[in-house]
Amino acid sequence: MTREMTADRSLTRRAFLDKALMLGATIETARVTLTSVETKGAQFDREAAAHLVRRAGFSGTLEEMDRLTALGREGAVDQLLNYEQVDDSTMEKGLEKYIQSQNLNLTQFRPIQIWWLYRMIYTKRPLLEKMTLFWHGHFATAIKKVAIAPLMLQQNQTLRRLALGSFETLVLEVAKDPAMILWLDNNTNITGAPNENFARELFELFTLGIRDPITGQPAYTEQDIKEAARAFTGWTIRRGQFYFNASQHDDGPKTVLGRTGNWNGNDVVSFAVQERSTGSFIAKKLWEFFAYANPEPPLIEALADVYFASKYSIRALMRALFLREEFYSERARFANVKGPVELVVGAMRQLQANYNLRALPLFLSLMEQDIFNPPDVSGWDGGLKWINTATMLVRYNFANLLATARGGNAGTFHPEQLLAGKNFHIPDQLVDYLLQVLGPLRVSDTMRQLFIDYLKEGRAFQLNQATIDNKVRGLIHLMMTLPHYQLN
Amino acid sequence: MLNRREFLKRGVTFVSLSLASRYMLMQVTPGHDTVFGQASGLSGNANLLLIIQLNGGNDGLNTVIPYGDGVYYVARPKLAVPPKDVWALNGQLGLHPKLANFKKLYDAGKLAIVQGTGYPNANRSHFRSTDIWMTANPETIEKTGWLGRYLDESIARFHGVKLPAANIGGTLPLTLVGEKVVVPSIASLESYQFLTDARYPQERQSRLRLFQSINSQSFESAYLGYLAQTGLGAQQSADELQTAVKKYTSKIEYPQDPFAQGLKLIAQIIAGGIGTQILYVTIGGFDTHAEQNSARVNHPMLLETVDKGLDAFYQDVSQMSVAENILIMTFSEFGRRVRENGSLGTDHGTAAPMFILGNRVQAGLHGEHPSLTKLDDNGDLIYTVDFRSVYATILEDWLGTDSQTILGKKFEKVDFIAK
Repeated sequence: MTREMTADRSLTRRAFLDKALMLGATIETARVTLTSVETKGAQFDREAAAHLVRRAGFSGTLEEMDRLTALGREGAVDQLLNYEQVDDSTMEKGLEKYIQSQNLNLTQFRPIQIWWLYRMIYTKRPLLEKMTLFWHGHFATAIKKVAIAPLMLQQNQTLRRLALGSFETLVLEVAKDPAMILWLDNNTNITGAPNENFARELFELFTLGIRDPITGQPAYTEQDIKEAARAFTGWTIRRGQFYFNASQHDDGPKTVLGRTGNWNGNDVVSFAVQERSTGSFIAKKLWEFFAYANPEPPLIEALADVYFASKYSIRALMRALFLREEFYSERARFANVKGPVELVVGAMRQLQANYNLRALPLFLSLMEQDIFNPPDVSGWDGGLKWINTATMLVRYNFANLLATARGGNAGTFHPEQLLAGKNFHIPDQLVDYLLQVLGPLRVSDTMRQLFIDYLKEGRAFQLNQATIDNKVRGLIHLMMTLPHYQLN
Repeated sequence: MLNRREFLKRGVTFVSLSLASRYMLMQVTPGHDTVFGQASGLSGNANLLLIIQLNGGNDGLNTVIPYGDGVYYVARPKLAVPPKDVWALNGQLGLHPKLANFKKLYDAGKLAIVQGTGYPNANRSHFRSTDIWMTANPETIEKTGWLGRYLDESIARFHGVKLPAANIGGTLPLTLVGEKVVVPSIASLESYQFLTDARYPQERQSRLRLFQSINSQSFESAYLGYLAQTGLGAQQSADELQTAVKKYTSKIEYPQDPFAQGLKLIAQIIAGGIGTQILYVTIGGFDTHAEQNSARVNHPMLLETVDKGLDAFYQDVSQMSVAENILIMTFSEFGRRVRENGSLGTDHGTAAPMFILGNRVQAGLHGEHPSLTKLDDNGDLIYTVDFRSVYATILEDWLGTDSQTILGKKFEKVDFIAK
C-alpha cells in the first residue's frame, strides 16, 4: 500500500467544492439579512417532533411522534439525548437471536452491515445510532483498505461508546483505533521516516478544518502536520490492538500549533481539541448534518461556546443544537436530502415493516452509501450528491419492494396493521393518514387529489382486504416516490 | 417575514446554480420532446468501446505465454504450460490452451495484443493499482476515471442520449466516474426498470401515470423540482433501455455464466441503438495466490469463461450493422510475479498484456514482451508499454478526442487501430 493512498484528494474537485461552498455562503448571508429566524418554537407539534426524530434518529411511527410531542420540546430532546435511561434490551436480545438464527458471520463485510442496520431499525435509542452514523462519516474509514471486518466492527463500537462523550476522548481513541491506523497508514509512521497521512487528516478533517469557519484563516500550517506526524510515530497495532512501539517513536522536541515540547500523540490531540477552530469546525459540521447547510456565523459561535464551556462535551453541544430555535425554523424543515441509510431505515421504522435485512446492503450500495465502506477519508458528500438517475431508480424500487413485501424472501410489511382501528369512509382520509405516516409530508392540494383519484379511479373506493393489498400498497409505494419523501 | 415558499426559493438558488450544468447536460429534463426526439443519437464519431476488467490481477504470463523462453519453465516448475499445449503465435509466444477463440480471432486479424503494459513504480495493492488504471493517474489520487473525464468532455456529442455509458454490474467502476456525467450501473435488466407490484401487472399503467403526474407538477421549490425531474429522467431512461433491449433477440447462444450474460445484455443495448457509446463489464476471481490450476481457484477456467463469452459476443455483434464500430479492451490491475510461489499460485506482480479486439484493429503483437531475466527488485517484470499509451490511442484514434485533455499529458500511441 502506498502512503499517499487516502490522504490526497483531487485538487480540482476540492477547489470546485470550495467555490460552490463560498457561493452558497454568500447567498446564505444575503438570506440571513433578509429574514429573521422564524419562530415556530412556541408549539412543539407532531410536525416538529417528526422533524426532530428524522434528524436525531431515523423517523418512526405516529405513536412515537405523539409520545414525544406530549413531552414538549425540551422533554423530547432530553429523552433522545439521555439514551442510557432508555431500555434497549429488546433490540439487543433480538439482534443476538437474529445473529444465531441467520448464522450471521460477523467477520465478513456484508454481515457487519446487516448487524448495524438491525440496530438502526430496531433500536429505542435512535440518537445513539444516528450519532454513530455521523461519526462514521466524520472519521470515515473503509473496509476496502482495512480489509478486516472485525476491526471495522470494533471501530463502530468505539464510535458508539463515545458518541456523546468528550470530543477529546473520542479523537484520542480514534487515533488509537486499529482500523484507523491501517486506513491512514500510521503503522508505517516511524521515527526518521514519518508518514503524515494520519496527522494531516486529523487536522484537516477530524478537528481543525483547513480554514477557520468564522475567520476564514488557515487553521494550521504544513509545518504543524509534519511535526504532529512525528508525535504519532510508533502508534501502531499488534495482534489487532493498539500498540505503542517506543523504539519507533520520535521523542525529540516538536512544535505543534504554537506549542513546543517532546510531544506525543496524546498531546497533539489535546492541543487540537482546544483550538477555537476545532470548536467552530465541529459545531458547523454537526449543524450541517443535523439541521441545514451554511449556518449563520453567530450560530456556529454560540455552539462553539457550548463546546468549550462544557470541556468538549458532545452531549452538551447536541443538546444546545436541538434546542435552538433555528433548528425548528422553516429553513430547517425538509432542508436536507435523506441519505440512503436514513431513507431505508426510516421507511422500515415508519411502516413497522420487517423487510429482509440481507437485501438491504445491495440497495444501500446501489444508492451509494455502502456503510463501513465510504468512498474516501472525507466521507460522504451528502445533499444533492445522493441524487442521480441511477440512485433515484433504486430508491423507487426499494419503495416498491418494501410496500409489496408479502412474506417469503422479501420479508413482510402488513398494511392492515398500519390501518388497524382506522375507520376511513372516504379515500381522502386514507390519503391524509398515509401522508402523516410517511412524514408528515406537506404536499399541494393538486398532488393530494392525484392520490385520491388513484384510489377511486372513477369508482367508489372501499377499504377492504382486496383494496388494501392492491391499492394501499400501491399508494404507499407511490407516496415514497414523492420528491418530498426524499427530503429529511 | 418570508413565507415558506419564498424562503425555499431563495434557499435553492445555490443548488440550482451548482447543478444546472450537470443537469442540463445530462438532459434528463422530461417533457421537452425537442430534446428527446426520436432522432437522438451520437453525433459525429459513432464508435463504441467496451471495457472488460479482469479483476484481481490476471496472470499475464499464463495468458500470453513465453513458451520459447526457458526461464519461464525454470520460474514456474509446477504452473508452466507445456510448449505443446499453447496456441503458438510465433516461435516465442503462445496463447493459453483455454483461449481457443482468441487464437481464432487472432488468426482472423481481429485481435491485437499489447505486451508488457504497466506504469512506473508499480503498486502491488489491488485497491491502489486498480484506481491507478481506472483514473489513469499513477502519481496522485484522483476522483474521476479516464472515461468519466472523456464523457464529461464529450457531453455535447450525446445530444438527447439518455444512456451515454453503462456499467453492467453492481458497483460503478471509478473508470466511469465523471464530474458531470452520471453513468448508471445496471445490476440486472430486471432491476433496471421502474418496478411496480408484480402481483397486479394490470395496475402498472395507472401507477406509472400517477408517478408521472406527481413528478410533472410544478413545485414550490427548485429542490423538489430537481428531485422530480431526476426521477422522471430515471424512469424514462430505464424505460428506454427496456424497450431497446426488447427489440433484439440474439440468435447466438451465450454461456450461462454472469460474465457472458452481461455481454449478452451489452449486445442487446448496442442493438437497441440508443446511442450508448461506452460499456463496461467486470469478471473477477483473478487473484490467484494459491492452487491456481485447481478447481477452487482455476485460472484456466477463468480464461475459458472470458474466451467463450467474448466469442459469443463477437459473433453476435458481427451480425449487426455497427460491427465495424466496436472495439473491446481488456485490462487488469497488474500481472503476477514471474516465479510461482510455494502454494501453487502466483503473487501480485506488475506488467501484463492487454487485449484489443475489433474488426478494425491492427491485429498481432504490439510492444515488446518484458524480459524474464531483467526484473525489478521484487522479482517482477519491468513494463515496456505505459498503459496510458493504450488509452491515448483509443481516445485519439478510436474516440476521436484529444488525449492530453483526458490524461494530463501526451503519451506515445500504439499502432493497434487500423488506418
